[in-house]
Amino acid sequence: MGTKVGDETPPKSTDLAGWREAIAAGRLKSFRLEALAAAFQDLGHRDTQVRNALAKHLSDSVLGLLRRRVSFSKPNQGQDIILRVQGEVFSALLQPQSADGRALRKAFGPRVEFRLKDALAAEDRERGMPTARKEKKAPPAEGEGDAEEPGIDIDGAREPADSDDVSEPTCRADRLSPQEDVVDDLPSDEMEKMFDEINVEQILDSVTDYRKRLAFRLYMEDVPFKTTKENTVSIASVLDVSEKTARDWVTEVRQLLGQHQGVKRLQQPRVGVRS
Amino acid sequence: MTNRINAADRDEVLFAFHQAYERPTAEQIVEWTNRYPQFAEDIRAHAAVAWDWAARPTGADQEVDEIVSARAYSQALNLIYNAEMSSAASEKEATCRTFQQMVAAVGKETYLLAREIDVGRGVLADLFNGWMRPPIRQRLLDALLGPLRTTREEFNSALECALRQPYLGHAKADQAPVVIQRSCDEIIRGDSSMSQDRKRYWLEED
Repeated sequence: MGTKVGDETPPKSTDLAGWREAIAAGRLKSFRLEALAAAFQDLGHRDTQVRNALAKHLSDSVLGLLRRRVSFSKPNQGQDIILRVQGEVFSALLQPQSADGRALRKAFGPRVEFRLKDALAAEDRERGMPTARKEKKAPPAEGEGDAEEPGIDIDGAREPADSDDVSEPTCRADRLSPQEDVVDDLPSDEMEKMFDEINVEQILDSVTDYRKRLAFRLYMEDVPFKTTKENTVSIASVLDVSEKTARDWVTEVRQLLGQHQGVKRLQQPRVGVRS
Repeated sequence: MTNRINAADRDEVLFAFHQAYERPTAEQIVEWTNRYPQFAEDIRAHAAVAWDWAARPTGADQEVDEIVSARAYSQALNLIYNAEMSSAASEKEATCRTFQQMVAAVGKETYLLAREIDVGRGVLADLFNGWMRPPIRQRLLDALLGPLRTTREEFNSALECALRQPYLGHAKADQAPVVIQRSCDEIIRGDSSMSQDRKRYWLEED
């Protein structure tokens, strides 16, 4: 059986000889990352080879942690955000007195994941920031809106962040004709069943506005759009928007899912299945 | 809500939120946004990412692309190098005694010192502000060591400090302040307050 991370007791963070031996014996993988972070900080540049070996191991470990969490559907397959966060983590490691620098010695993985979550949330928020109010659009030309793969055009950036006025739809799905809106009338339990059969997450990835994603996920958990009951929360209260906005956001995402070819196929009678 | 949240610092609040819930419920999101209204939108954005993560199983460790690994390592080494350079520069600056400190220590002003050794005040100002490129004329250097009560080594160290961090002066309305460093000879020749004789003297042409 192979050695697991944390199986071995690491040398003290200031024990240069101990770390030299551990590196020579290829034992870094068996130590907790917190111990490596502490050694990296405490040994500093006393031995360049040791420092570089620790840096290499920490760098690869950070990449591994990040890769597990970053979707390949992100720009440049997620590599940009991964490298950005890896850089932030190393900057923090090089500042032992900073909050992150101290935290990495205590809880390496959780801190790295937190930095990633913060970076993803910041990216989401940046994309969700209101720019200018949209001008009233002319009705779409015939055939427009159904030629491309659905989802890629959803753009929460144009949604006024704090406005209840949602008269302007923000995704292509809104331009669907009633016939194409194949899931809009399905009850949520049927939708759930259907979503089990398609890669919903891949589709949700294209919803760049985090508020809409969250609204849809809460809706799938049967959280009400609005409630007057005391001590009961609603999608509207979670997102601090009106009931109408909450409903429109969920509808947008449902329609986007409805546009997906996989869902359309599910709606068609299948060969060998009794109707 | 846990008691360990007592600081309203954004990172602390968000990290505590991250640690507390793998997939925060609607109630928990509302509870936290009510408690920290200043971070409400951050909390919602973090909650949305938490839900994304919870919905996508992470599975086993992912294979990391070799090219990405090499780029990341190279980035790490660059950061290490930059940190070392910056730390070395700060150490030097911390031990460096500036010209301004030397002048103040002998209870003088630059113009008084200039008058004392009979050199243009602009020459000394340029030297002390880090606008004079070495080498410094030997005669000027020798003339300053005594009145500044300093040594050649300390003078050179102050010169390095000044050159590393030159005084920037005031920014113009339409551009950032710029530093134009000139040679010692150029500065002496261009000083309008000195006679030609004095210039020749400081240029060691007599």
